[in-house]
Parts: sequence; C-alpha cells; structure tokens
Amino acid sequence: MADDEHEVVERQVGKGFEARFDLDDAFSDGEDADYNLEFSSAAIKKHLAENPSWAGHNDREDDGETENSSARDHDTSMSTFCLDGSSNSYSESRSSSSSPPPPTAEEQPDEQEVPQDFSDITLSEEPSTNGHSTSHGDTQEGDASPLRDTSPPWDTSYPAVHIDASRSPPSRVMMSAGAERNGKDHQEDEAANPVSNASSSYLPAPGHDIPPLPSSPSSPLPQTLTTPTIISQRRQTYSAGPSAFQRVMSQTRPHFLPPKNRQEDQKHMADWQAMMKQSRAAEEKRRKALQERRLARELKVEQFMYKWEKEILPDWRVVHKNPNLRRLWWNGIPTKLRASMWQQAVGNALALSNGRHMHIFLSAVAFIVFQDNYRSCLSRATRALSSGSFPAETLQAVEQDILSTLPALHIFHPETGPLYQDLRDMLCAWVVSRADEGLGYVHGTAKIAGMILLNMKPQQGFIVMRNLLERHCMRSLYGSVAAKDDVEAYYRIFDTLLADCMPKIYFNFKQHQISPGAYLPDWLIPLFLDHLPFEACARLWDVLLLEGDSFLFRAALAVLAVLEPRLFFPDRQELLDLLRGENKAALEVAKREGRLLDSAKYDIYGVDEETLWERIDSMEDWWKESTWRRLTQRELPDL
Amino acid sequence: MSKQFQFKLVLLGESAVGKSSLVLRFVKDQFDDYRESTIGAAFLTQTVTLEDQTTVKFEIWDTAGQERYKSLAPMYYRNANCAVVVYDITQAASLEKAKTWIRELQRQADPSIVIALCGNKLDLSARRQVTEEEASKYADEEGLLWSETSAKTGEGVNAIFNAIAKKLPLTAPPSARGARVAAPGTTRQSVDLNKQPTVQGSEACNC
Repeated sequence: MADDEHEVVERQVGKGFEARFDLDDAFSDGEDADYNLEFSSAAIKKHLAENPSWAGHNDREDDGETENSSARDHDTSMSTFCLDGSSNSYSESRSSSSSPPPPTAEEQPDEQEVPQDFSDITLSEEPSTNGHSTSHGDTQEGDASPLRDTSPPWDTSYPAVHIDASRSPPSRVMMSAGAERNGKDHQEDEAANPVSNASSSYLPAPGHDIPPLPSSPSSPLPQTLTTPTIISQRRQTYSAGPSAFQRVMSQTRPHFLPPKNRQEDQKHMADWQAMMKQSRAAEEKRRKALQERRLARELKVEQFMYKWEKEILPDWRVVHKNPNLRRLWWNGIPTKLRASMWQQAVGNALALSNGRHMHIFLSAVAFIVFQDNYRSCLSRATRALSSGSFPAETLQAVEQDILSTLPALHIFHPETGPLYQDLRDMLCAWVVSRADEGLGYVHGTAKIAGMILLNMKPQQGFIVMRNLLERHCMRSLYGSVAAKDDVEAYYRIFDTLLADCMPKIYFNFKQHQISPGAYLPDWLIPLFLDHLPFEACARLWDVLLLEGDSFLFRAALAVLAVLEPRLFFPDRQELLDLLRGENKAALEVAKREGRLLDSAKYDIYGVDEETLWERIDSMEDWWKESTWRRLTQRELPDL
Repeated sequence: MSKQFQFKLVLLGESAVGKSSLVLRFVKDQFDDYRESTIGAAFLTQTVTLEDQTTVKFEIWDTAGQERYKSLAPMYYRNANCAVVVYDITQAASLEKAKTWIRELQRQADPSIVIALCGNKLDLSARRQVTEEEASKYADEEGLLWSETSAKTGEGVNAIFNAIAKKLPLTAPPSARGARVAAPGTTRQSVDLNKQPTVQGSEACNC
C-alpha cells in the first residue's frame, strides 16, 4: 500500500522528484551525519515556528495554476493534511521498528528523517486531492486518519507543520523563500548532491557553472519577495501547462536545481549577459580577422596577376614543374583567368568538339561528325523534350536539383534566375550525352553545371563538365551499379587515409558504424558545393582540377578536420545529422544569429574558406602522393 | 520597321546606396522606403524606346554580395554591355567604393563596356557629401556617363538609362550581342563563340 501510494505521488508530483526520491534513500545513511549537524528536525521545527508562513509555501506549490485564494485554500488543506498524516503515521511506526532504510524510508533516526519528510511532503499531495478542498488545519486531522494506516511511517518530529500550514492565505501568499529553502531546497540539494553539507546546499549546486554567492548561513533567509521566483519555478514542475512564471523564472539555472534568491539570480543573469556579449564580440573579432586574411590573400592573387599572365597563361603545365607557380595556383586562380585555366586543366580527353572547327568524334557505336558536342546534345534534348520522349522523371529530377543549386545566389532560380535556362539546357544536354552510355541523371549534377556556368559559357562549360565527370573517381561516383566496386574501393581508400590522419575520428566513426559511404558521396558528387561556402568551393575547384582525384580526398579530410571538435558524439544518429549539416543545436544558433540558412550546409558550423584552407595546408607534410598511389594501386589495380 | 536591341546591364556599388531602388523605379516606377537589402542576384528587364523608334531592352543584373562572392565576378562581367555604378551622394565613402568598381570593370569586363556613374539619393541633397563637381570631374577623366538621380522621386532615373541606350553601339546586329533573354521558354539567340576572356595587363591592385 505504502509503496503504491508513493508511486502515485511521484507520478503526480512530476518527474523531477523521482530521482530525488531514490537518491534520498540511497544516500540517507551517508547523509545523516551532515544533517544532524545543521539541519535536524528540531531545528526545522524551530524555523517553522519562527517562520509560520512556511506551510503556506507548500500550498502555493500545490495549487498548480489557480491564482484565486479559494483555490489556494483548498490546496492548503491538502498539503496540510498530507503533512500531518504522514508525519503522524511515521511517528507511530517509528517507535516500533528500527530496520535499515528500505526504498520507502522505513527507518532513520529522528533527526535524520528531516530530508525524507520534506520530500514526502511534496510528494504526498496526492491522496487528498479532491476530498479536502475546503478544509483547514484541524479538520484534516480527522481526514488524515485513513491515510495514517496506509502511509509509510515518518518522522515524529513533524506535526508542527500542519498547524502552520493552516494559516490564512495572505500569509501564505507573502511566504518567502527563507523557510522553504531551509526545508525543501535543502533537501533537494542534499538528495541531488549527497555529499554537500547543509550550508552549501543553499548555494548553487556544486559543479554548476554559475559562481556562487558568498555562502549563506544555514538559518532561514530573511523573508523577501524572492519567493515568486521560487514558487513559480516549483509550480512549473508540478503544473502541466505553461504559465506566467516563466517571466520570473530563473533563466540561469536548470529547473531541477534549487532556486536562488533574486539578487543572486540577477547577478547571474547579468554575468550571463556579459559573457554572451563578450562571446559575440569575440566572434565578431574572429570574423573580422578571417575577412582580413581573405582580403589580403585576394589582394595577393591580384598582385601576382602579372606572373599568371607571363608564366602560367602561355602554358599552364608549367605549374607541375615549378613549385612556386604551383603554390600560386593553390592560392586560387584570379577570377578573370578561371574559365580558361579550368578549361585547360581539365583538358579534353574525350576530344569533344567545342564547335570551333569540325571534329570527328568517336562514339561507342560509330564515327559521327559533330559540329559542336554541346549543341548537338542540346538539340537532341530539345527534340526529345518537345516530342515528349524525354523521360518525365528525369526532367523532374533536373528541376529538383536546380532548385537546390546555390540557392543563396538566386542565379538559378526558375523564375528570376538569369542563368536558369542555361543550366536547364546544359543538364538536359548532359542527360542526352549520358543516355548514349546507358547512364541516367545523378542528383548533384546541377551543382557542377551551375558552378561551371558561373565561370564560362555553356559550350565551353559543357565540355569541361563532361571531361571533369569522366575522371575516374567522379566517373565511379556518377556511374551506375557497375561502378559500385570502384566506389567501395574509394571508400576504403578514404577510410585508410582517415585512420592515419585522424585516428580518433576514425575510431569514433567505426564504433558507430559510420562508413565514408554515409557522407563522402554527399560531398563529392556536387564537389562540395552543397556543404561548403561558395568561395571556398571555387578555390577548392581550382586545385581539384589541377591535382585530380587525390585532392578530392585531401579536401574531404580537411572538411572532417574542421568539423573534428563536433565529431565525438557518442551517438550514431547525431553524428549522421551533423554530417548532413542538420545538427539541431548549430541550426538553432544560426537561426538566432540570423544567418542565412539557404546557403552552404556547413555554414552553420562556421566552416569557412580560411579555416578550411588552413587545414588543407596543415596536412601538407602529412600527405604523401606516394601513399595515394600505393592505395589506389592496391584498391583499384585496374586503374 | 523599328530595330530592337538587347543589352546586359550590371548594377554595381556599395550596399545601401540604392541600387535595387534605382532599378525598381526604372522598371516598375515604384519606390519602397524600407526595402530590404538584396540577397544574391535579382534579374529584371526593361525596354527603352529611343526617338528613332529603336527599342533597347535591358537585362538588368542587380548584384548583391559582390564582396562576399568574388568568384561571381566573371559571371556578372561576362558579356555585360553596360554597367551602372551607383554611389550615395550623402556618403563620401560610397564614391570611393564606386571608383573601385569602375577600376574592376575596366580591368575585367569587355573593353567596350559602357559605364555610367550614378549619384543616387538626390532627394537628400541637403546632406550631400559628394559635390557634383567632384563626381563629374572624375567621370570625365574616366570617360564615363555621369548623372545624379533620386530613386525616391524618380528624378534623373529614366534619363540615365536613356543616355546609356544612346551611347551603346546600336549598329551591330543584335545577334552579335552576348546578352540574351533568360526567361524560360524564350527562343535562344545564337551565342558569340569567338569571345574569349580578354587578357589585359594589369598589375595595379584593385583597392
């Protein structure tokens, strides 16, 4: 019976108390000594006598959302009744038994019972709920009797409480934190932090990050108006719905910890605000520093323009021989030269005609004379579109992909984007060109095409795109199921590199069964455009087109390195969310700071160009081209 | 039979000088006191009819975030026939920024590009920081069109676009222009295949 009641009580009272209840019992032995010193039941009784409004406190706690006095009365009666009943019954059983304390707190020396009592007080509001709505002090004695039989034995020293509880509502309303804190809060503290002693229990719980005020004495605090805060806080735990307390509720402390007085709360609030201000300032400073670095680098790129024009432009392959020029290339191609440099670096292994002269193109079937590969593909696509033979689902996939292509730039927007039509044309032409090989559309192609279109015209761009996607790693990722083995091989290569470069991340990923397949294709298929800021991508592309597939992996490792502090979640789903760029906390922060959410997915983690390149550069010594060759030879012997 | 030409016009200038407002006034004859700043690019078209019944259709690329997206520059400048660089007459610094854009255009864009320098917010001339003399002198030196406008009152807005239309080379056949309609479903015009990014010697830094 007793146990049953407790269960009910606990449920009614709220989750916050369940833990306390157990803890209280579990630690009761250890605690007792401390309690005895400063917080005996006798002492409490004294305090209660001094602060009669204590009981009113309880009432406030119990009365849930109701604000009118009659409701309060009714609640009062309930709590008084409960207190009374439990304490009385306890007194009886106390005398008879002295067994070790079971979960329901059978047995403890008087003085040590106090904490128990208090927790029980809060818990025991349940049995009386409706029956005693109007009753006060004395009447409850009678009502309590049935309870007395059933309720577990509790401290004899307690009965004084109910007298206090029956005081008039006004006094209860004025009730202050003081007495209550001595009682309940103390208990909560003790329960939650069994090691703390009585005096420290007034302070914020140990380990709490808010600096404690000078320690308060164990005697009751002066009655102040801090109560509303406290009461509201506690009522929060009891009542189901939202309430006006949130306005006065402490925001600097979790609700399950004991409340603090107003001055303390205000101080902490001020501290918190100051800290937030500082952190914003620091963030601002960091952004400025990055911005400066970026501007300085861009300036440098501009300043070396003459070098580009004199030494690289005539024959770009010189960068493979001259480390200085290669370094220059790694710093980013000047935007003006980007189109031609990309075109040259990607080359035209497919020997696709760009329309400048007639060209014989070897297709899988026969020799076909193309005037211009792009135009011929496009005209075939246009014909297919107008005749309705262009697969509808492919067209839908293309449109879908375009919608998510650099949306922040608004350049490819179907209605207002100036390059929308070009992009759509190019993708349709690409679909046609791939149909020859029996391959379909791949989600993510629109990003590649979009990036290329930003830098060059469709004719040129189409050839760059086709050749770029013909590189082995890209081809595998864009390939059909036939390329699955190759893709797996690339994942293994990446895993090996990851294990060597960032063993801790590797280990955590392994533990939670996150293979490169869970994130790598998302990054590589759109060549990072989905996840990284646009400018960072442009520079990544510069190097990517020069260095080939190995740089894909270096860049991917660098992305992980930038995310590293966030990658130690011990939870698979959380890790996957994070890698998808959907970490809830980070999204919240980004929203709060009003950052745009339609740009790159990893913007919310503050992954920016400079940090990323810092990582890539810091891998310079670690990276061995020979390792890469060895790995590819091992995993892809046919290459 | 009247001739029709189509040109790509890019709009540049520091943020909050009124680029979008200027275009809005020109295209829709509207003004919005509390316009939000443009994100990314906006794209509008407007046709101007000259005295000789020639119609000039402007494809207006209203840019934003140029500072943030340096890599977009090639796209903005590619095939741009004309540029309107806007500054705010109440902000001396915005003219300096405008000069930067002009240097950038001269370096990166087609050499035949027509550039107009436009001092906006003429309605706030009481708070003027940039004198007419200063700006017009600079425009003369650089060979730019120059005028002051108020997107709010509409003063001078149509005039500057008309001036640009007149200055554009209207002799070449429209098909030779790189600019074309981007609205979905429109027929494509043939595209200039001979145009390679022009390489000019320029060691000067752009700031």
